[in-house]
Amino acid sequence: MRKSKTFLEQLCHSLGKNNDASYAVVAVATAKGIFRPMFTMMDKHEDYETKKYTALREGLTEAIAIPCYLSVAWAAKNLVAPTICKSKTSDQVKKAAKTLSFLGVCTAALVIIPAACSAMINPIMKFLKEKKNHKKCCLEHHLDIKETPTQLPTLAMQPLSSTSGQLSKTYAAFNPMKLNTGLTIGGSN
Amino acid sequence: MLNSISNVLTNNTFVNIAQSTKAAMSIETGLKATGRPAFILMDKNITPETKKYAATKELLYQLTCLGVYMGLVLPVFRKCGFKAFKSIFKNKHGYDKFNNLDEFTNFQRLKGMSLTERTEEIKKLEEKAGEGKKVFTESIYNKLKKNNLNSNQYTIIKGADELSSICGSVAGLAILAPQVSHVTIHPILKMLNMDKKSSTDKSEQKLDTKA
Repeated sequence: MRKSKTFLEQLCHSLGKNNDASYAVVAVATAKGIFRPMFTMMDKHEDYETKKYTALREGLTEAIAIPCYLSVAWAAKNLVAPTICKSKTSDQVKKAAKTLSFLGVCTAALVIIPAACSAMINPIMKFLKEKKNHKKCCLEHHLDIKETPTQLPTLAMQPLSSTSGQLSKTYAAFNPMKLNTGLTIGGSN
Repeated sequence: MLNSISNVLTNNTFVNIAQSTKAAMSIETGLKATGRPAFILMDKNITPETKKYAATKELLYQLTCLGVYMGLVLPVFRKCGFKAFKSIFKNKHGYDKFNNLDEFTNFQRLKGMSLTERTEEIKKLEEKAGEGKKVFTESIYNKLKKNNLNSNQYTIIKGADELSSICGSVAGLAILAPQVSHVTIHPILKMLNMDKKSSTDKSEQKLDTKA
């Protein structure tokens, strides 16, 4: 109990002394990244695939937004502020860093994040879709291989009464090995 | 040129706005409400109908966020936060000198003023509160009468206020505002005749008549 209070006091002290605009926006973005996909998945009116797509897109947006906010605020504080306030005291550089961090957060929210999202989300979604399709294709392919041998006994049994030449031709037409090796038996195709 | 920019950046008013969660989040949401619809309207790759729909939807969403944030979340969370932290810290760290959040906010505002400005502002506050009513506790009155006030006083109270604001921002902007906008935006768009369904119906009707 005493330990948690000390932590709370420390947290309040550091927030009171050095609050930054990026703290609140990152906290909001993190919560949005968790709750927005959750609310989307809880929607009963949409079908599962649409929900999954929307939730993934919302999660990705916030996942892009968080590093954007942090990097812009960091750059404003550590790169821009010392450059602009070269002739000022360290206390004034700190003050400028706070203002610049806030301006950076505003710029990130207004321009950088929408631009980064439009540049990154579509390729990521395309990649994920292709990966999913590839997986689906592989699964179907595996199922075909498993299914074809079950047809073999009936096909092989049928031409028993016919001549051996006919048997070899029929077997060659339905040979599952043909799919994998590309070999042709009996000179057909 | 750089000197004038740095003078603006180190201005105490801007620094205070940048360090206040409430001001920073409100300005950011306000900028989103104006900037994002403007960017949508500037996009040349989409049809004017879609542009209008998307821009209005974005504007309404950001205005809902701003409304929820300013009107509901902050006053509730900050006031409740002040009371909660007062009891958690058992009137330590200066909490005994403030009865409520308004006293602390007024003190923070007056702290940056000169002595003459401060006395005038205190008179105005007392007039507003009514005759015989005190706006600060005795120890705060005494502090405000001094010329130089320590700017790093009551950092824990200030931090607790910021923490309550951050919690309020999270609850308001990530949980409450999306739910409120989900309920309100579609009826408003329908009222403005800008619902997606009605616009698609209109375009289909146009196509039918042409055919």
